[in-house]
Amino acid sequence: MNTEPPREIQDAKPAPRRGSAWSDARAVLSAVGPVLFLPPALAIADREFSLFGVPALAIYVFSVWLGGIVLMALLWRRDRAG
Amino acid sequence: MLSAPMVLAVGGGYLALLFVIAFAVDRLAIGGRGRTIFSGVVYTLSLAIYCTSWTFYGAVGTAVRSGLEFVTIYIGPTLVLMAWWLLMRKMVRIAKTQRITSIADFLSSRYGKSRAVAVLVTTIAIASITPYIALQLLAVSRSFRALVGDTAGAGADTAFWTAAMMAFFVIIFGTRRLNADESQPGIVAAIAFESLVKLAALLAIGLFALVLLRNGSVPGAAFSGAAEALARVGALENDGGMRWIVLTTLSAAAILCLPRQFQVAVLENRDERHIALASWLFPLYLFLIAVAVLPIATAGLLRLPANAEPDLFVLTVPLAEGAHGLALFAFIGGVSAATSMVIVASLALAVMISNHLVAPFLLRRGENTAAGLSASVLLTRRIAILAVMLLGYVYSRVSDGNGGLASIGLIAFAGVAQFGPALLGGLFWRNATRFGATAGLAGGALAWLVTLLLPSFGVGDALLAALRDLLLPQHLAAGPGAADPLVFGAVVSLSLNAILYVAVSLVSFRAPLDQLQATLFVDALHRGGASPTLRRSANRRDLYRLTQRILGPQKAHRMFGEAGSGPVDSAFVSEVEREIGYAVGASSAHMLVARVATGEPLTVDAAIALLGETQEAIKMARELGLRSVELEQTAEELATANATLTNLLREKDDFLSRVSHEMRTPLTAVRSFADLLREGELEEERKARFVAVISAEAERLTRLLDDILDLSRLEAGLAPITLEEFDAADVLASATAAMEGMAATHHVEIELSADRPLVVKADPDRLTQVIVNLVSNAIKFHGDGHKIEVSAQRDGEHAVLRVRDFGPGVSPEILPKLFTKFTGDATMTNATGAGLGLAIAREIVTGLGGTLVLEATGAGGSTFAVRLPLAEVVAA
Repeated sequence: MNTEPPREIQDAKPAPRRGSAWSDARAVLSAVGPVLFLPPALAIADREFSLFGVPALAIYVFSVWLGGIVLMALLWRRDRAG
Repeated sequence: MLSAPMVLAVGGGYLALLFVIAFAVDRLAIGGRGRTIFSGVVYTLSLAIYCTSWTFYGAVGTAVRSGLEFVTIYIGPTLVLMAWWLLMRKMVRIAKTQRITSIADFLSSRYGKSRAVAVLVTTIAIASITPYIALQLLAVSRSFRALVGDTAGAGADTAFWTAAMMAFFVIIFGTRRLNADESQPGIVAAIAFESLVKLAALLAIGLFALVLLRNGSVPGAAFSGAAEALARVGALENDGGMRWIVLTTLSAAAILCLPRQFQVAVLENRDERHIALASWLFPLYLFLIAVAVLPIATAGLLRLPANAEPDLFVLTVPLAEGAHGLALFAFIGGVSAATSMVIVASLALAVMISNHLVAPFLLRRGENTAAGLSASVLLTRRIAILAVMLLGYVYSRVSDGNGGLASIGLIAFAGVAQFGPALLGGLFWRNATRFGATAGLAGGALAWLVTLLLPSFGVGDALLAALRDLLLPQHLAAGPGAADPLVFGAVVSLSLNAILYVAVSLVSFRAPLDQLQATLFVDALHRGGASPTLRRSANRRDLYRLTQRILGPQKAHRMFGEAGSGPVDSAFVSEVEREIGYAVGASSAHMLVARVATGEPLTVDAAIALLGETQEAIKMARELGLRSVELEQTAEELATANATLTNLLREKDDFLSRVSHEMRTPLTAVRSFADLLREGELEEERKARFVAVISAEAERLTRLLDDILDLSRLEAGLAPITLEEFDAADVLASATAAMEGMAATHHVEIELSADRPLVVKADPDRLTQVIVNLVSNAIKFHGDGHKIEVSAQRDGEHAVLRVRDFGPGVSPEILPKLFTKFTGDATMTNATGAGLGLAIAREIVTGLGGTLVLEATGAGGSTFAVRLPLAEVVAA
């Protein structure tokens, strides 16, 4: 059985809901970002461990940073698609 | 070392290339092809003027001296960019509709076009940015000296010639036109190109340094192992937490508040979608810059003498390895970083100076000039650019060598961060007033001057020490472990700023213009239709003359069409004010137009009505949204109701067709027997039989009609029901006895059992009718056993009367509509009814306050149960 709704309903209905979900995701990201770079978070990340001589703290800062950028880029792509 | 003429030639050639790019793009833009060039990528790259030579060279220096702290300068903007979509879209929207020309104009416009705010912002910007420009010039001359191995002399000239060329560049490309819809496409293209060059240069050197790390250290270097050097660069100082937060906050504020950032991010924005792209692409740019810093700093610590200047590692690392080409590339990257900052910063400062400091005097003096003000405004801007450059150059000459400029980058950040409270508050807080903004800016700027700027020149140390003693506990005020001067200055100035801003805003009077502008800014994103305007009218000719004077005859003609006299409406007056504002700033424009637009003075009542209208419009838009949701719900409800009605209609049709069918059968019999009788010639015996049939059929018809009437009365609640207390078992016995005759004809035995007493309060006649109906049904479907059971029992607070047969059971098809009119099964209809019996029975029982259900059905037979409340329960 074909359960897909008719085309015009597909086009009209879910779009705004999806849009608001993405802007919510954006809001969450912009709220969580600063928390991850607060000194207490850094203190947790500051350990003896190192990779190719790069200390754990630097690895933490740069990977969280890059992660945030990737998430923002994904949101941007979703936005353009939707 | 490289030869000076060669470096000069390359540097000069590079600057010439910038001129060519700017010139070519300007021509394209005039030809209307600017749109295709200005993609989101160019917008993002233009934002990268944030990375000046201070970051190009200084980031490595900071990494060597203070470890990982250097990333704060890039993380702050990254965090702001995550909220960019909300913040920047609003700022761009406002700047476009209000014809904003600079951050000073933006803030002054928000706070009731206040002159005080504009002058304060301009002054703070000059005080913090001019030394910053000097720092750029100094970076160029120092890097030149490092490259050619010169120790003095020629370097200072480089700074001068760089400043001169930059001034020339900005004047040529930045002050050619004066139109609201035209930004500076040539300059934007040039700085986007420069951003690419400086990123490429830093990445190339970073890659080179990464390869170098494998070669180990040289004798005399600060560290002997790569791991130790990396640990130094990647570590955070023990008590660096507070400094980390302050630096991140300052750089976050800087990306919003620096006049040059405002210029490229807000004023040069051509498409709001670019903002979304920049929100991740610009952080990526910053990330790459920061990543490149790590290997360069590490390589410098391993491969250069321990006393080498870390601020120049970017140049000296490739130079020491003999990679002269790469060193030259690094120099060009540094020049790019420095010049792009100088170009945009001086342009932004010049616009602010000419609009907010000079324009008021220009307007007063030039009351009678016929040629229009455009020329003098442009001239003012050119002079301002030259003045800013010259000031920067003098600064750099004076402080070269004494190291006083080293910290000016962060001090400048702290200076422009003073705009932060007024800027963010202005965007989201409706009740902020011009007095609050003025007080906050003035207080913050004063504190910044005392705690940061003056001490950086070695002035006012005693005042600072006294202040620290006053505000800080003993162990933090002075001596080892004292609070960091930058942290202290930034926290004190920003706190004072924010407190004054909020407190004064709360207690001060909100002027009507304040309220109007607040609404325009705070509601910028959800505003539809026309903007609210002050109710003013002006004489068309006067307004035309004013526009002509400021914008020149050509522009005035385009705006007014034909000059004539007579009044113009308030919307047009506001439009003219915005256009003039682009030339002379919002506050000057407001003053000028107010002189011409005599119209009604704005009373508090009028302003409140105006605001009411706006808020009404917003409310209406929201309500419309809500209403459409409501409409959707109503439509759904209507659809359901329609389905129910259609169902009922079909039931009624069924009912009618069944009734007519039921009536036709006896009527046909009556008619045919009557026909036979009319034909006569029949024996008496047959005649009597026919008459009996006719009578029986007529009786059946009457019963049918009685049933229908009965049911409709019951359904309408009109049937007479007389309640009395009686023993249900008695009624059961008498009703059963009445059915004995029918049972006998069907050869069925009725087994009766009853608990006594079962006193109920009901209508005995109606209850008898129900039982007779159930028993007659049971007799009809008695099954093979030739037996039915009738019982009465007490079940808690109810009397339960059961009638059980041992027939084949109710077929599943008619089960769902067993108790409805005409159950549709022809076998159920017979001489005693037309299938209305059960429907009537249920109506009666329900009317008596009980229930009638089919308890069990199947091959073993069916059981109907009538459940009535006992009388004592009803009484209680």
